[in-house]
Amino acid sequence: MSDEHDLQALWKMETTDGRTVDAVDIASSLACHTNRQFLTVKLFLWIGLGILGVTFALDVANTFGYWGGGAIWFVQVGMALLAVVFTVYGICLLADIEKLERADENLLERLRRLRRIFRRRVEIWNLMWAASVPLMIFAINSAVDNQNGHFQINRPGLFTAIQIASFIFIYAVTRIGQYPLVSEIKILMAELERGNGEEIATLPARRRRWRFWFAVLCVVLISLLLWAAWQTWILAH
Amino acid sequence: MKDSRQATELRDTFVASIHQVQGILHRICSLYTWTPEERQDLWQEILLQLWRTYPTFRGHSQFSTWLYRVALNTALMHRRSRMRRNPTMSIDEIEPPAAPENMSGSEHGVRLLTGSIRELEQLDRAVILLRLEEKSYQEIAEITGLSEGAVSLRLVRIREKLRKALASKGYSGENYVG
Repeated sequence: MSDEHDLQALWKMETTDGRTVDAVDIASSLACHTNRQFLTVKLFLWIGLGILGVTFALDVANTFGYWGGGAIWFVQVGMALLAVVFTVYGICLLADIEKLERADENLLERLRRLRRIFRRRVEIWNLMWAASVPLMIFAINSAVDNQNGHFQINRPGLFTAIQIASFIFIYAVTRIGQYPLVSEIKILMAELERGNGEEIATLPARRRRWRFWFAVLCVVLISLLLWAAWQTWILAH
Repeated sequence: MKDSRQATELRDTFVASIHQVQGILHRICSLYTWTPEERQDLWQEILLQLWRTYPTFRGHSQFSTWLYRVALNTALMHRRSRMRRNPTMSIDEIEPPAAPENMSGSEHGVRLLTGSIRELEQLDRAVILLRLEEKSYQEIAEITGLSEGAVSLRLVRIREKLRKALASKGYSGENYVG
């Protein structure tokens, strides 16, 4: 039975009777919708690109606003450049994911693209996206301060702590949000590359872990919201 | 008006092409799924994926190369749906094979062959499927991205695995083939 010809002869006997569908059924199937495969990552990308767009616009406005303002002018220019670099990176990543969704590359090329995107590029983008929110907040503050006449950081220590905290928090939210998709893709890649299907068995435990961290995140977010509402109420009264 | 007519023509051409080659797609579905429901899901997913990318298929490669690439890539990724729904499928959920006494010898042989191919690694499954569909080494290389030499080596290894798998299931080709 080792002869290839025998195997091919046997394979030819595999019929698709009972499964054959007519042209009308094929046409009606095309009206169905299916979920895009990499929706979570693309969603974070689109939101990130939106934030970077706003940041860039504010930074450009601020470079005019702080014209001749010394160090703060250079900071605004640097931030605008950073926003451009992050945006270009995000757009390239988005294009790469679109190519992945078309699924018309050869199998190994697609696997390489999957590896490149999910082992490296998405990880780098997560850092950029986490940095983009503090960048935008800083750009907004700078614009408001410019309206008031001058830029000033009243409490540098607190300011730095808030920036770092928001970076870490957004990074954690992103990682937790993307975890189901990214872990599935990594397991799939391990199986495709090394024929290692054992990791699939770890998926239920991973999901349970994810649900736990997602719940923790929700509690933290709700607590922060309540705290902010409480502080606002105290200030108002 | 013109756009709508073009869209209809595109759809009709696509449907006619798929209607002709649906056997290939059904065979891919049966090698990459374990239950009839999964098979139906994958069939639907492959159709939609082919339709989604059809407008960008401009004849840079042969129609069959494009078709196999999209269908196999979709089948490989379809594993994710199963991982999400049921990562550790129990033996009870797998479609039971028909009893050999109710089948002709060749039917039994095809079932065993299909079952043995399903046990292979995913990429090996794609390579042997293409070879069984009588694709040349060059075409297999174009679809998978392997070199022709690698295809040849892999096929030797896969055939050996299949021979052992079929033998372990008590199948001897001489009884049924020829």
